[in-house]
Amino acid sequence: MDLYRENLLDHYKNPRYFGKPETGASLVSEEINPSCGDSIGVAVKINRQQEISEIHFWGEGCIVSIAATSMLIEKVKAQKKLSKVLSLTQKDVFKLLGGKEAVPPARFTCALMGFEALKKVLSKVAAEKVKR
Amino acid sequence: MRDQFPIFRTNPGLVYLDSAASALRPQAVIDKEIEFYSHYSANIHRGVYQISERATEEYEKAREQVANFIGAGHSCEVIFVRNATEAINLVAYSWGRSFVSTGDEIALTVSEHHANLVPWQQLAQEVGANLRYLDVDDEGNLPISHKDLQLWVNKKTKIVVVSHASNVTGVINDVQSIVSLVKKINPKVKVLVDGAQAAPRMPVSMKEIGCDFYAMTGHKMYGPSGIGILWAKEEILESMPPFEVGGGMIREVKLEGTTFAPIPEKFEAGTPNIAGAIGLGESVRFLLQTGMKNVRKHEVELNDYALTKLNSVKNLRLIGPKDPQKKTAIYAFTLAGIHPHDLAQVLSMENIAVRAGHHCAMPLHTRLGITATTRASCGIYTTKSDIDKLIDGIEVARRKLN
Repeated sequence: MDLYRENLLDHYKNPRYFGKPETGASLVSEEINPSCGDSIGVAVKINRQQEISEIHFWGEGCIVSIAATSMLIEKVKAQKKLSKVLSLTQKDVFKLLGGKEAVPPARFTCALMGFEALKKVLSKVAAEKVKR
Repeated sequence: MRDQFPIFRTNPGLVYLDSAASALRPQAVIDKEIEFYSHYSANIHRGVYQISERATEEYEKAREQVANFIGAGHSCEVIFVRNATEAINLVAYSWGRSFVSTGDEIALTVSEHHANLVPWQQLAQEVGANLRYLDVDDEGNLPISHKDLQLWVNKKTKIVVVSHASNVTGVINDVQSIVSLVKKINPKVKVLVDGAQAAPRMPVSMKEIGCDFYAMTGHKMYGPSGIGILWAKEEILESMPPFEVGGGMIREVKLEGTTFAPIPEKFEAGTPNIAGAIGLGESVRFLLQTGMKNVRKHEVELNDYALTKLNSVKNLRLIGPKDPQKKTAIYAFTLAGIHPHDLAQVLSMENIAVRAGHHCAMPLHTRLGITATTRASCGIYTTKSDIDKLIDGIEVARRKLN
């Protein structure tokens, strides 16, 4: 098992779409890891075509949590369509990391922090829609 | 020493530096549990047949061994519980809900393990008491001059809770002085000492410390998991209502009401962890045979070596006192640019077991301005070569992750 592959380290050192957005128009959600106190936040903007027009993440974390989130956000950005993004599962996150067997069980929380934050923010999107 | 721990044979090359979480078990303790299960595995008390009598005898002998180990006045002051957490909860629920009320104060410190913090927060919320925290300095030491303690303890204080040794910084608190000083300020105050990290690492004596409650856990004392000890002064235990009720702790039950058994049975409702208690008796026998002064001497020698070594590692910040005499052999640190979880993961690939996170002491980490640390903690089997391997492992991690 080599969790710390070159690709992963690259995403950790150069996380994609990293940084807190300045405008207040985005929907925001944060997730914390209770075992170490790390946190990851995700912000999204949805356009009229029901596509993710902007997405950012920020926070403090280990290589696994930062890289997993960076890879996930990259995928989300490529998929664009909200309906597709909503169907992403934990399994997809593990796939990005080289399969579930590449991640030790004690690190599942790290691997899924960004995914959980994304899920939370997308549920806010759904709630907004209902309000309208 | 290492040949007495079979885990080193079944896991060749294992560098075990997580004894503050759980210590490894010597063969003697494992054998003792097997002896119970294979020779006299019956329920204790009131079994009028030989193997039950034997089990009862061994269980009560374990209580006496523990009492002797901690210098308790009488073995009825030793209550078997699940772990130190349960020992503290027992006091917070049984004693706390009887004697702490609205407007009273509970004095605790920012460096406590969550096990010695959350039960008191809950108690305070429930009864309307106030919490008063004693802050630490940047090394994690508690200020314990009479002046400092006067700001912490007053006439409203009902109980003072403090750990004997920190599970993060390794700081050994002078609990004997704390007890005598706080009792001068308020003679009625009770003191609970969390001894989870101290009992396996240094000589402890209830008579010398002078506290009212002392909590310990078996699995950190080279004993089984699922068994712990609450020690408390006899007259205080007598004044407390039972924590749990049911079988094993009654004198007489009528449909209209129940009278309870005397201590210690009053606090041991239901069938206890018999094998665990008997195993724990064996582990304290093992520790006494090794000699607690020798155990402590070994820790100071490891401190001498490890503190120098770790302090010479580039970008490593060691948490806790610099003086080898002032701490247990626990080393929590941060490494600039490498997250503790990642470091622990790479060390694990090198067969080095350490722990990463906040070690159930979030307020202390916040106070020290860090989110998480990597912690290497020693046991009686730890060698200087283990420390060398840790240092090498840190360099492997640096190369791999940077």
